[in-house]
This record gives sequence, structure tokens and C-alpha cells, in this order.
Amino acid sequence: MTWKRNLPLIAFAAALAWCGPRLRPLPPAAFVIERPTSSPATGTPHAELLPRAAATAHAATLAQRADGKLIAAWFAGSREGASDVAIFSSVYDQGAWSAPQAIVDRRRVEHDTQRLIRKLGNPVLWRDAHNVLHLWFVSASYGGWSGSAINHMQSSDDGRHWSAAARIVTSPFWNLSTLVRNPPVALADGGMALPAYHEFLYKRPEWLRFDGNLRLIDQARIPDSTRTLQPAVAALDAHRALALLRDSGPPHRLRAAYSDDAGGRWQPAVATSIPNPDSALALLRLADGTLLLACNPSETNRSRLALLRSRDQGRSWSAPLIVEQGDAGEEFSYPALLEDSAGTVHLAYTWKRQTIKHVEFSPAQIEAVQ
Amino acid sequence: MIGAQVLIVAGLLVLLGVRSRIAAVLLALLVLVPVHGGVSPAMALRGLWGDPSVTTLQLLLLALAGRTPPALHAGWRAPAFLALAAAALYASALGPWNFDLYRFGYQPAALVAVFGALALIAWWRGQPLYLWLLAIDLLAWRTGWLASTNLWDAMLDPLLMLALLALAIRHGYRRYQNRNVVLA
Repeated sequence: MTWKRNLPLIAFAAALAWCGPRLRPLPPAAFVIERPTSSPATGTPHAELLPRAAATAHAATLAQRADGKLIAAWFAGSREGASDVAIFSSVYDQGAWSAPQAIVDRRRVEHDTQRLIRKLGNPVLWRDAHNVLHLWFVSASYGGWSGSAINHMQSSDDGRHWSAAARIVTSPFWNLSTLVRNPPVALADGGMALPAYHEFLYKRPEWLRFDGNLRLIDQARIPDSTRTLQPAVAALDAHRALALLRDSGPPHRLRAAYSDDAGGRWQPAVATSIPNPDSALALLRLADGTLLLACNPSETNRSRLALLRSRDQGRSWSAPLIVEQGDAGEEFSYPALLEDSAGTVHLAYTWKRQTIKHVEFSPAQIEAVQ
Repeated sequence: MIGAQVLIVAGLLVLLGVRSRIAAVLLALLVLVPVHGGVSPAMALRGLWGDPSVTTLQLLLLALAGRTPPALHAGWRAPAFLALAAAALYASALGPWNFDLYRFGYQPAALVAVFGALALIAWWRGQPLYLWLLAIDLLAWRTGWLASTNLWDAMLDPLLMLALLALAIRHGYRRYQNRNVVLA
């Protein structure tokens, strides 16, 4: 009888013993700071529209493949949120973009995750130190985007073939409402940290830390950041990071938050002087250590797209270099930035919701953003 | 884990009055049949509420096997505490606060200390159920086979919170009624 009574105690002790290593606090994280791998080239200015994949296109993302070619991904379909929306990719080779190829549509996600999927959106591409291409995107089964969850796929052959989609659980309430927009930051332990955000009930950013096996091992909040979303993060050194946040409501200014321990804890978010019309932004740490920001510097609309530069780790920003200026109803939004291994800066963005536009900036042109 | 939806539906059928547990499980298996565009009702339910916690799975398996633990037939304090813990978790996860209880589930030493201490007290007082549930939750979480890497998701889910809340109210009300009877 005593043996039977003690059985749950023994099971609990055995579980504790086995779980022991996973119960301990995490070692502190550190960022990988990338250095230029070759001398800056004098790239030729180049801008073109990517081939259209469907009636509407939105939310571009960029990565440089292991073979040096640029790959872009975005979502396209009859309209945002429609069931025919798929994630498309195109490869930039010798000055031209290839015909778009669908990476994943909702039927495939339904098959892979064994659950009803109504719509897809917001792809994020990133190449890790092992030359594996990662793709995160959001999917929703019911309701609007605030019901989304994050999915992950990866490719070991530069995007020709992709793994099955796997859902990442980031919220205890039916995994409701975690989305991505901007790329992760590499960590020194082989893992990565992915900036994400919530939209259900309250908008706010989240910081998701993964280990080298893509296991989610921590998540952190940025204090005083409600009503902000779509964080874009740049590592400033091995431990410091800057997050810039889209502002969904007053004061219609981009907000900024710093971390001194590689994202483990964040200082409260504060408003910057840069206007933001509730629109996505992209942030990039250039190889020379300065920061490049792409955003819509307006309080009211997305018709102006500009680049700004900071030489003091985001404390002050240059005057905007206007990349697009359209009429009030036109949209040039959701920028993505990438500095390739030759030092050329690539900007991709939504062009009038019809397709994606790509602009190359030579190092000299970027240097001119004062 | 799509099979977990079958268990949930079977449990709901029993709750709705299907007397035979075997019939409930057989009937629930129908939710695996694709009905529209290759999507089964089980996939639709999984899209809605995801995978249940390991605790829910354990309790469903016990209930469908006709072995509902005595601890769940009476007593309102433990179900009420667990329901409140879940409510606090969801409020912190969904609310505008800077503090997030969910974060404690990744390296869950503090979480295990609190729930382990309470489960040990319950065991000491003759209710081994909660220690069993926690031990199996921990073992399942440690295998890495669950979709979530957070221990909270192995322990609790919103459906379980609702079920525990209903149990706490029912048992608490019965106890209140019985007290009135004794006083009369």
C-alpha cells in the first residue's frame, strides 16, 4: 500500500530529474556582428518592378542566397487576405528577376499542419550561418490578421525545395495572434532572435529567442510598447540592440527601444521624431556600423517612401532621402532592406499594391544619405 | 496530435448525454473524415483551438476509460485554483502589461516549484491526482514531442480552464447547498 501511495511521488521525482537541465536559467545571449566580406563595389543604380504573380502583391522580404544571388519573397493573390493568396519568390540574377514561383499556399499549410487555414501573409526570409534559408510567414484559420500564428519552413538548396511548414507556438491562449514582419538577428550560440508582435486585444511587440535547433527558448516584451507592432531590430554590438516600432496610434511617431543584454530585457519604448502613418519599416545595420532605415515618413499616408541614416546608433537620424513620392492614394510601403556581400544595398517594397519594386543603392549613394 | 480532437469531441459527446463512452469515441472518429476541400472537422477544430494540453489529454483519457479520479467528483478548491491560474496566465498573455507569466514556462524552475509544492501538499492529504498530472506533463514536455516548448502549454489550456471553472462552481454550489441543509 505504501508503494502504491508513493508511486506518484516517484514519478514526479523521476520527471524532475529528467527535466533538470531544462529548468535552469538560460545563459545570456550575444549577437553575431557581421563584417564586410569583400571590399565595397561601386554598384550601378538599378530599379525595376518584379514580375507580377497575381492581381495584388504585398510585404516583400529579401535574402542573399549562398550562391550570392538575391532572393525575394512576398505574398500575392486576388486581394490581401483572400484564400488564393500564396507566398511567391523570385531570384535576381544578372540584373533581372526570374518569374515568380509559389513557395507555399494555404492548401499546403493545411496539409502540413493538419488544420484549417484561411489565409497567409507576411513572409520573412533569412539565411543562417549554415547557408540554410529560413522562411517565416503568418497564417490565420479564423477571423482577421489578429488571429494569426507564425509558421516556419526551411531550404537547404537556396530555395529550390522547402521543408514542410511547422507552426510555432508563442501564445498560451489557443496560440492566437503572433505575427512576423522583419528578419531575425543571429546569436553567437548558433541560435537566432526573431522580432514578432501581437495584435489580439492589444498591439505590442515580442522578442522570440530560438536555440540552434530552432527550439523557442525564451520570449521577452518591450515595456511601454502597447499600440506598436512590427518591430525591426538591429544589433549595435555583441550585446546592444535597437528596436524600431511601427506606431498604430497617437502620437504617430516611430518608437524606439534599446536592449543591453541581447534582447533579454528591453528599456521602455519612447517616441522618436520620425513620423509614422501606422506603416511597416525596415532597419539595417550596415557593415560600416551605421544604421539605415526605410519607412514612410508621414503621419497620414504611405505615398512617400524614404531612407534615413543614423551614425550614432539611432539617437539621431538624417534628413530623409525620398525614394518614392506619389499621390495621396498611392502606396509605397512595407520596405525590406539588405546589404549584400559586395556592399550594395537593396530595397524592396510594395508598389501600389500591384507588385514589388526593387531598388539598388551603391555604397556611394548610401554614403550620400546625410 | 490531430487525434486529440477526437478525444475532445468524444468528451463533449459524453458531456452532452451520450451514455456509452465507446459509442462516443466511435462517433467522434467521424470528425477525422474530410468533408470540404480535404478539410476534416477535426482540422477545423484544431484551427480554432489548437492542441489541448497534456493535462486535458490525461483527464479525457481517464474519463473516457471510466476512471474519472475521485478528486474530480468533489472539492472546489483545486479546480478553482487551477482555473484562476489559467485565467491569470491568459490575462497576462493577452493584456497590455509589461509582465508576462507565460515567459516562466520556458525555463520553468519557478513554475515547477509552485505547482510541485501544491501537488505535493494535495498528495500528502490523500489526493495523488495532481502529482500524477504534473509528473506526466513534465515528462511529455521534456520529450520535445509537443508543438509548444513552453511548460504552461503542457499544463493548461483555455478549454481546461472552462471545464475546471465549471467543476469548481458545481462543487462549490453543492457544498453551499449541503451546508444549508445541515443548518436547517
